[in-house]
Amino acid sequence: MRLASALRDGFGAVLGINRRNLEFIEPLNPRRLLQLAASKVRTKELLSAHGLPVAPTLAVVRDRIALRAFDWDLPDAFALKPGGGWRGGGIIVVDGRAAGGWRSLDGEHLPRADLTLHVVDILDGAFSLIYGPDEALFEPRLRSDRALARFAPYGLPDVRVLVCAGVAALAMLRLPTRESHGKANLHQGGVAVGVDLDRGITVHAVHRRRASSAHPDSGLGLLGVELPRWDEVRDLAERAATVSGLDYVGVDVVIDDELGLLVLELNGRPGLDIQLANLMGLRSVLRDRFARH
Amino acid sequence: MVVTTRSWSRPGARLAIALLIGSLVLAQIVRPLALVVEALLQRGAEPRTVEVLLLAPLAVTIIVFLRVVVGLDTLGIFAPMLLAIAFLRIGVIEGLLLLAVLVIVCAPCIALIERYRFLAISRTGVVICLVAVTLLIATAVGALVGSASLLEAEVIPLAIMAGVIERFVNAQADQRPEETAKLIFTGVVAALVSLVLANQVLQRALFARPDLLLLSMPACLLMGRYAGLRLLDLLCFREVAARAAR
Repeated sequence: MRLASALRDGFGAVLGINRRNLEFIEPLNPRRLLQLAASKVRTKELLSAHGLPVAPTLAVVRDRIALRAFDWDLPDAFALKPGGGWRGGGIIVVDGRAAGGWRSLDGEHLPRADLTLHVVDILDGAFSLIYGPDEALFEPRLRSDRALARFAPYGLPDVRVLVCAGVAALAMLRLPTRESHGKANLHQGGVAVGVDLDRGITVHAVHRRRASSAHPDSGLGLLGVELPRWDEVRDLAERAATVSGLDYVGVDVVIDDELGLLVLELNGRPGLDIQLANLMGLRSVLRDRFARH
Repeated sequence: MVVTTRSWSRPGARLAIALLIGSLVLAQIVRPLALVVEALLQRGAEPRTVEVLLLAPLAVTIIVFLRVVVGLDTLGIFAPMLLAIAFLRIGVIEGLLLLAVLVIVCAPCIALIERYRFLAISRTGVVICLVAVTLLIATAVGALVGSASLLEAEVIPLAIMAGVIERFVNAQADQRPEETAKLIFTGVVAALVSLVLANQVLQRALFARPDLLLLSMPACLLMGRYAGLRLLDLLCFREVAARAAR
């Protein structure tokens, strides 16, 4: 039956969440290492110990006592993140100083008292997956490489590379939009652009789970774009994945204007939307790849 | 590394099938739960409590099925389960209406509060207060209108509603709109489960043979080894599949 085999070949190529959990995450990602990857602070320590570039750490506030003692000696622009945050929750990006405090990227006025409250929220675990105690991380504000910034004038784009057993399987460029408040998160309205792994050229784009050809803010075409330093990005992602010990991991890489390539974070339970961005099923990709190796 | 092609992974399935056979044996031959339930009722246990305990495993099994096979992701497992039991008491329409009213009341209030910075936990406190007040008013309005069913509502399901609303409102405040879908699914799943549980034939069968609820354990385990695509995945990834089939 042609229809039956077409359905089987078609949907047989897609990796669903059940199989991802049962056959990839459970056997390939030990719990201890998942917990490590969930902590941005510990991830950065591990990666930089192995000589891999990560975003600099300005300060880490671990508890209320440290917060009391904190001197708030920060540059004019910085990012405040929950160490155990997920999907971009709880991140405040500060753009410059304002009366009594700072101004966020969104334009919100943030006196020091308000930022302190936010740190307290972070410490109480308001943004961490398990609602347990968390640490607050201060990083310098990163600015995207000019080639990528053209597309997304608002926010920091990143490249998510899904690496399986140390080999890149699929990759996507995530572009923030005004709608997503500068976050690259797809659920909040970011644009996902699939990238050909060999050539580093964009092949397909998705916004709000529908195919798209131009960025909603800049209007620039999203397809056929060559990513800067692609070979280095892919290589860095593969090395970071190997160092992490996770055999099924999403590595987020940014290209900063001054600092160059940086590993932003590791995701031990990477989402499946990367298949939508590439219009390619992970199951067939992984089958092919491991038939060869 | 092997990328398997089976939908049902083998090793755990054996344990699940063993449990299935064991449960069937218990249900048919030994019938321990039937004795327990009878003893409870004789000693004056609240029939409603016993009813909830007998229905809960079935409710959870349906929720697991809707999650693993159909793909309806809810705000946890407890929320839809206890909401379903609440809907059994107060009615599905009334229950969904109540949830909608709670969202309509709480969301704008919290949006107003979010214009200023307060600790996240204080937001939770405000939501719970708003929910309690709204439920009091809604119950009174319901009684006036002649719908006495809201008076039947028990504390725990109402507390769950408060929890569900709190989580939803927090997600909106923290700019995580994807939780809206989960909230809707939670309501839908609770409604579906409650409709199934309300079936009189089913209830009579369960109360006649309480040992049948033991079957929910192997059922959950069997579903826990299902590695195939979910119904919603088929919808979501249809273009990927179309491309791959070419």
